[in-house]
Amino acid sequence: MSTRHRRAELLIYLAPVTIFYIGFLILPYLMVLRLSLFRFSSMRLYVPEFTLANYAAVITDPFYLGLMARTVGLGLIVTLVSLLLGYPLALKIARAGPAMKSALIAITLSPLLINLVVRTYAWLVLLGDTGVVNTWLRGLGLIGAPLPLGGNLFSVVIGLVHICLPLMALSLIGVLERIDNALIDAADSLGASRGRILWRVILPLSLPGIGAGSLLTFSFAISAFVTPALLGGNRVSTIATLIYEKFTFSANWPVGATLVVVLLVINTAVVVLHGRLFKEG
Amino acid sequence: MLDRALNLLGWLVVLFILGPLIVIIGGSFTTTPYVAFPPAGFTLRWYVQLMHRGDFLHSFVISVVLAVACSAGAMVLGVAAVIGLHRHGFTGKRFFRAFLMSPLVLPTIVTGVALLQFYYLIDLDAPMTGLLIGHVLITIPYVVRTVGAGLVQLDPAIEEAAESLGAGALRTLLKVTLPAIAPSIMAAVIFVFITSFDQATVSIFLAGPDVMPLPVRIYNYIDFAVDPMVAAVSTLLILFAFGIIALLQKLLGLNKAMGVGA
Amino acid sequence: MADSTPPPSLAIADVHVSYGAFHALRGIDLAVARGEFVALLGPSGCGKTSLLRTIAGFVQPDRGAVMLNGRDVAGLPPRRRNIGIVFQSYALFPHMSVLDNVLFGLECRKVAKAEAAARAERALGLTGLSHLADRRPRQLSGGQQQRVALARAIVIEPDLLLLDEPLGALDKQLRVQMQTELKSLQRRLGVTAVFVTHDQEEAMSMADRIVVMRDGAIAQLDTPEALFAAPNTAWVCEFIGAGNLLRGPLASEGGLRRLALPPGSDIAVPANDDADATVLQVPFDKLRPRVAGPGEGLEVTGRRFLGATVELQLASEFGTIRAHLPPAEAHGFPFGGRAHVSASPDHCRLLPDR
Repeated sequence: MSTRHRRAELLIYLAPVTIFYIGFLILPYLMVLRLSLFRFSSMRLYVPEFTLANYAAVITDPFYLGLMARTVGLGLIVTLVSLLLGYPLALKIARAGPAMKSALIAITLSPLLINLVVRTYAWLVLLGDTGVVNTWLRGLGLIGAPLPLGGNLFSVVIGLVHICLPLMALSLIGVLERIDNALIDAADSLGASRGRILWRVILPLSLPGIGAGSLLTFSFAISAFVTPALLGGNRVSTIATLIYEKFTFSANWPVGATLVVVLLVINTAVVVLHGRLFKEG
Repeated sequence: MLDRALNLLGWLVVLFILGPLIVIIGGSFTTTPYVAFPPAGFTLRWYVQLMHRGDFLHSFVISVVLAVACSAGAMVLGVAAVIGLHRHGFTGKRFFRAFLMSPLVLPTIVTGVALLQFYYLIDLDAPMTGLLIGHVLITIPYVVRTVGAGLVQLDPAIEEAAESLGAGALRTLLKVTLPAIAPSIMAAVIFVFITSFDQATVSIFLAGPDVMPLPVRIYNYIDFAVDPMVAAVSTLLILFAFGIIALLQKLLGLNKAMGVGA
Repeated sequence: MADSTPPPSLAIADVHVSYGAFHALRGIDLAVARGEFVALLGPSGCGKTSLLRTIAGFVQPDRGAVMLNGRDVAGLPPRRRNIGIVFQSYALFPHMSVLDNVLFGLECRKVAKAEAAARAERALGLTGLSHLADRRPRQLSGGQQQRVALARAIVIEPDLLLLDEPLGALDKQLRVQMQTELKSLQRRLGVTAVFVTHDQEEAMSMADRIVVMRDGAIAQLDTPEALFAAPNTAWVCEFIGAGNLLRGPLASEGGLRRLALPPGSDIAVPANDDADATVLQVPFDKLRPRVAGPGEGLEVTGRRFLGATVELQLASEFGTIRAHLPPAEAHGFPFGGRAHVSASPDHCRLLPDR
């Protein structure tokens, strides 16, 4: 085939997707960026006059700074809890026999295929004041008044962990399975207790998986919308829920767009940080 | 000691993963006007009530149509791109691949907002089209990843063999390459379908009152009431998901499909 | 056992191990004296690795006892046995430096920092690794990794050193060099050592005694010299390559039993009471070929240059007879030529065909 032919063929394959991405990914994102530089107007959605006022507001206003801190804090808590729960699960799966392993992997991954809204709804049912958990606890006589399980940070964390756990477990299973059993035998023969083997051999060797899983979880948690919106009961606001609010009820698109940029910046910063921390070598 | 504690914790986590789903399924049969678990009595009335909800049925149809259209669109654009990447070397190829994967890395809420204001800007007032574009955009990465993995495993010699036997580029593509990677294409179709069918975040921004996919319908309904009817529709969706898992398992083995080495 | 004799470093009595329906070990008895170097030799699947793992404590025997220095270690996990192990894959911790790998066992034993550092330095010195202490395992060559594994195993001053195919991953030249080093290090430290190998040459060159294993049992246990000179079955002889095995009718003739070879050739063996002993063994280098005329004797069907000797392969009706002779003498026996062959009965033995 001649070079010209090959060029033409390549164009046929790649042009449609490229045009699609430019039209519906790059352009819309650039327009959001532009929007964040426009002035807000309560009459119209925005006035096309360039200003840095939105950024100035977001960076200096304690309300927005608190929002960012809360969102990052939420991301960190969800990541930590997912790690603490995901690690024993992944260890169990990595050590299981073939049949048990398939079953456990299917169970771990099944939530990925179940609708996000449905999974969030399940926690709404479990954690409400008259929800299943409080009803049980009261039935058992363990508590008099319902515990404040729902509509707060606790329920948001639980809901997000439930969603992020499979992603975390997947990353961990991958690295744990690759650890050579002979290393564990070696540590054992050198006198290491189970705890020491876990702490000095298995944990350090699974750091890449911990890093990858934490990155996925953190990114997901800080930009999740459905779960905090439903489980937070209007009391837990994050960058994502406020973006929704700015683009719908309060119709302040320029500030909403500015928050979008903030979210993207945090996300990018985490990816870069992850790259630095877990560089090969 | 430690091993036993970790093992127990592992089982508790399994319970944590499955528990809520079990509660929903069980609770959908309760006779109480709220979700109780274990269910109080047994009734199918929430399912019956669901069948009388025209809005839910309409949303279901919309979700299916959207998912089918999205599968077609994402497959055409995605498979073409992957084959182009596979057959040709060019500078910036890795960058281009990362570019194709980017919708997976970008927060879905941002993509939803970006499209929302963009449609306003270009005056696109067709929710179905708008939803379809959004869904295709966020599902193309799944096609690139799954079909790309299938092509990497393909022995390049079989394409060369076809060409040495006199097959033209198009015939090689249709008669050799595509059939050889059929399993990964099937897996990609299923992933795209599920992802589109379950998509809530992008859809919330792009749906219209008359074009409301099922997840958005449920989302809006939950905001207003948490009754066992939602448990009923959730149960149906869970069964739907498990049906697809079984299908995947049968077609390729779940572990492989999910990219987990077992 | 008299009170004055110290117990053997390792004593194994009637050990049985099975995995499901598969019997990996069927009644092993073995005693290894202090400072002795013993090889477990056998083909794959013979149970040598299972035996090693049973001694280490990774496998619990179904029956029988393992005693270390007179102490029954039944049920003790590997970490309580004070055994140093060199793994086949070395199993070096990839995330630790060479020094940290060596220090790991001392850290587990809560040895004080200063003493641990001194002991690690000594171990690294003994294995010639002092200059590599800060490297990571993957930055080392195969031979260097092998030494790290060795240093890590000896620094804990184990009661017993176990080596699982320790040189299997090295190329031939390095392997020979390491055999010598390993042996001299073991001597110097006076540590009792058991190593697993499938390579009979390696076993011969390093071990004080060799345990030849077959199908989960000990086929023969002897010094290399005794094993080579007097294998107790045809299978052992074949496995260690201790000579020709000729299966043919043997004619009794005044205290000798003679193989029915063509006239001019003569191989006979002193008669033996053992009715089982039916195979005639004759070492390769004890055969004396003579040039035969056309159509006489045996045909030379192959020649193989082995370095110090040349192997002649002679076709007989009892199988190929292989004779090793100096290259100068081999000159007279071209490929396709004819030869008579004979051996002194003193060098021939009868072995049971097992």
